Amino acid sequence: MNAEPEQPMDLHLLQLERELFSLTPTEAPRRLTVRLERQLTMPVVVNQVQRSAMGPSVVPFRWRRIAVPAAAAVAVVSVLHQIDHSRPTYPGLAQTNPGVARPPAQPSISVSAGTGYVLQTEPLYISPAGWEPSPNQYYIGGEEDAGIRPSQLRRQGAVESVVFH
Amino acid sequence: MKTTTEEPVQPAGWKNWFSNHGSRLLLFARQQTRTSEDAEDVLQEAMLRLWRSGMIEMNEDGLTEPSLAAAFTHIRRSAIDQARKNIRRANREAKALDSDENGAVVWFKDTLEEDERSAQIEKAIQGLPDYYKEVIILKIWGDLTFEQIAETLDIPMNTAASRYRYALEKLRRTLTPAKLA
Repeated sequence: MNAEPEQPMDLHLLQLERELFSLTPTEAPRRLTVRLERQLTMPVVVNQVQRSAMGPSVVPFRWRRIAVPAAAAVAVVSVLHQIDHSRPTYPGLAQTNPGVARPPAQPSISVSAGTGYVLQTEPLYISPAGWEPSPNQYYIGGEEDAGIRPSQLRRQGAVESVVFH
Repeated sequence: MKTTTEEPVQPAGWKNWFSNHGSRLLLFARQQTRTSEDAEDVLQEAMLRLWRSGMIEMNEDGLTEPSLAAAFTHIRRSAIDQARKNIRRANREAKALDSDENGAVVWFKDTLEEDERSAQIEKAIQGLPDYYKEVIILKIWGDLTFEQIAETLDIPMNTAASRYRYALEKLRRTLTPAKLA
């Protein structure tokens, strides 16, 4: 493959090219040859320094300061989490007195299994005046998807007027 | 601590090879860098890379030696790497300005009667844009073909050839025409 330009150069350019060819670059300094000789003849040693040989690891001061509070916070969160799980899971009961709260009782009415009614449980409503939970269960189903709800009195919350200043 | 020792580099005949080509390699390294110190560092790094890369071919005498084109390629890459990571470059450039003003770095060696002309040509070459300068150096003193120049500089071969021609024309315009006759 001819890699040279095919277009011929004029005489002046050829003369200039010959003149450039006649110039000789300065030789590499002796110090460079010595440096190269030293590096090329030297065996290449690869050190794989293990982590344990690097001395004790340095822990920045700010992380050391935050370690104890972080551990305490984790402990507190863990304890609170356990307490939270030991309580009943009914919504709203967490804010009430756990000693009084109890799961709602089964409705007093009974529905036979052949009727197709299914026992449902609504969210539990707590009367603001007291701590007694109000069972709020009912049956739903039947031929027309009707509901059967036991009649049970609930405490009514007192409504008071509020005046904004 | 675990220590492994690789085989030492076997630079059989590398001294002869370097004494034959060191000057042209250093010339290209000087063109690629700003100072003579940088050029020597780059050349040293390129030689180490070249020998350890195993890019060795057989010459006309049947001896194995590194490819000259590969050497130029390594010089160029080393120069690029050095330019990127050398944080002292600014200081060296400042020194380079002083060196250039004092004419401390000489690219070519010539007889006394040719000194003036040699200096004139050297100044003209150094005044060329880098993309012309590197092609001229690789072609004239690197003794590479345009195909090898294209590979070294990662440019199309026609671009290398046209840059060479434009560089010569620019040099001719710069140099005194009377001296060319």
